[in-house]
Amino acid sequence: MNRFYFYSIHDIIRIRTNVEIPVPDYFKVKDEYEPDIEIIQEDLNFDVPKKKKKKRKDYSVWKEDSALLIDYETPVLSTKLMIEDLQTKPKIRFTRTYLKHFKKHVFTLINLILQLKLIQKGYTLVHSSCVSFEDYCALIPALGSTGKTFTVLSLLDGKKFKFMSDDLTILSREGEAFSYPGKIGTGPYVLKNESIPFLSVNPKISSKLAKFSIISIIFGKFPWLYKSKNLEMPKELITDKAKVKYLFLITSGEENKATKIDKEEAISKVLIEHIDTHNLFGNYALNYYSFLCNFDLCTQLEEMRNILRRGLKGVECYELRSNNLYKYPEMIKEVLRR
Amino acid sequence: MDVEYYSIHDIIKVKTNVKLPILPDYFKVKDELTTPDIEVLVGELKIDLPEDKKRCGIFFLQGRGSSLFIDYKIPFLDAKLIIDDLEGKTKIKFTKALKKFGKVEVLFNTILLLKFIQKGYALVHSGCVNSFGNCYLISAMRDMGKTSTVLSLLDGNKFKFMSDDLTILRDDGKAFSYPTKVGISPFTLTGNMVSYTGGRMKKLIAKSQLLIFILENFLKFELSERKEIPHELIEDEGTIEKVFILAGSREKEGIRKIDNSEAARKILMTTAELLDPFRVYSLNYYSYIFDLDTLKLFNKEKEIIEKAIADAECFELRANKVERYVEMVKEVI
Repeated sequence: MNRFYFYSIHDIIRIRTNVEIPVPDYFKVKDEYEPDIEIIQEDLNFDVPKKKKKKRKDYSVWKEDSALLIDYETPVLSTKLMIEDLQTKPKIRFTRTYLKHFKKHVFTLINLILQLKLIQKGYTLVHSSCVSFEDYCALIPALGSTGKTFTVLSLLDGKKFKFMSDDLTILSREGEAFSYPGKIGTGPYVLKNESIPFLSVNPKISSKLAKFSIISIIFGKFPWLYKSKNLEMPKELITDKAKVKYLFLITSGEENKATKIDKEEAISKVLIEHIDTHNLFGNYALNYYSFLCNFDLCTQLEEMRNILRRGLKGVECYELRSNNLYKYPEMIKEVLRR
Repeated sequence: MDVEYYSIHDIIKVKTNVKLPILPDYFKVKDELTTPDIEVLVGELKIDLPEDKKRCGIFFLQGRGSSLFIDYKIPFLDAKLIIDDLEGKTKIKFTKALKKFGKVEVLFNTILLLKFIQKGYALVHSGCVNSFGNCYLISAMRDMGKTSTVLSLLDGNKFKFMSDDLTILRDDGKAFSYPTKVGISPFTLTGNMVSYTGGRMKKLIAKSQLLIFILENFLKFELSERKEIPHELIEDEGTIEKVFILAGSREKEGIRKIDNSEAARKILMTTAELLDPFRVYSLNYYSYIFDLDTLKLFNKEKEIIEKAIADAECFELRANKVERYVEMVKEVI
């Protein structure tokens, strides 16, 4: 457990950790850089301040110097979390038990802190897939599981279209997108990609089952049943960085047409669909940190909007309105042909 | 349930046939209100989304006119939801099945928060006591001692009750009462006016953390009780004089004067934790489809809070024991 791993996300953010974190393996590096963020599992030996009066609460939380401390005061096992220095060099420490029981919390916290750090540096994560073509790229954001991955995988051909990300993309103030290639989970649909056969998906059973909502609901509870493939994108198919030229918002509708939309409207939509899956107020520990350690979490969303405004300055924004998954890649190709 | 009407200080009128815990009985009115700002109705819904409607994760949705339709299309369960016109007279309609599984209460809480902002008010996570028209806001994160502090201050004479959890603020520095039922456990300090009536048995149980854990998690046992504050102890409005932020402490206890902007930030943060405007996905979908700028409203909420407390003195109180907060508040006043 004492082995440390280093990640460098496009040299923008460097992370040092000794546990598995929700950051793509693609960014793992051998060199031991000076990290921007440290995520460490270790024994924590702080104690809850003595109180005469017991309080009705699952855990105690308090501030000490510049750190936020949380202790569940569990007997025998030690369930503790510590967050430090979000303004400068964030450190997250937790005990083994904390990680085991609150893995989801820890992962959310890591993602949020990564996002805050990116915002500080003039970048932002966007809940969007991204595909590159020639020297440019297109962002494809969408709400929930409505076809981001499908659209990107269908477009790839290894020549003109290359992969950047299927779920999260980093956007800079200067309008450049950076790849964020995590493992790709495909949904219960049939996908044929003739140029790159191994990207094809044909889940015979689940694609049929998925037509019934009751099955989808059960699958929704057990995502591992739902995902038919867990793809790792080969490095030669990935573009690391490209200038954003288009933004395609995937949404429902009967038009089956790409419709140009207003920039501010597009930005609001990108923002709300990002927040829906990566809510800045979705982690209790970060909320406590913000309250007790005087960190202004509430203005970060406006910061993110400013970065989006500048980053998407010269970008053409379209809304892809269709109820048919298979139309999205066609519509994108059509716009590119214009 | 029959249809009930609520009027929150004439700012917001609600019509509902569902129990909504966030609405204090204090605001219930007998007369029928003709143009409610928010209508919440459970009943049969005859909407049929065409089969080829788009699926979002586990449900189908469509924007039609000013309404968002959501249909889960579960066999044997009729789970549907309509959210209509968030920027005008809002209507939320849903079926029984959705009420059971759909967390309608949370949806309503968020809509109420947004509605207040649209009307120029901020519903914030703070307790509030009133002394001859002067309001003292007491703000903190959950379980940090708001209720204990508020209840201990009450004396029915010098200090009156406005709220222990949520308070309505207006940008001209006024605060309005929001007297929800107060959650009291044997650990809550209650002062003289209100007290815990759980009996000796519960007080004994309260001595063991382990016992509470077992009983509450496995046996539907509820240690704390929710009590209505007697109406004669409630004052309806006043001018915000002072703001107290309860911050806990480890070693040093003390009172620190803080910037109004810092206090506003903290009030907004704890409110965002309790009433997070982005938590409910159906509302996020609504914002997405109808281009409702929730973030703009959230920024406006911040502005209202800042203006509301602009003339107040703000303090941060650090103490290890809840009793000390009460003494500190009295000392400052």
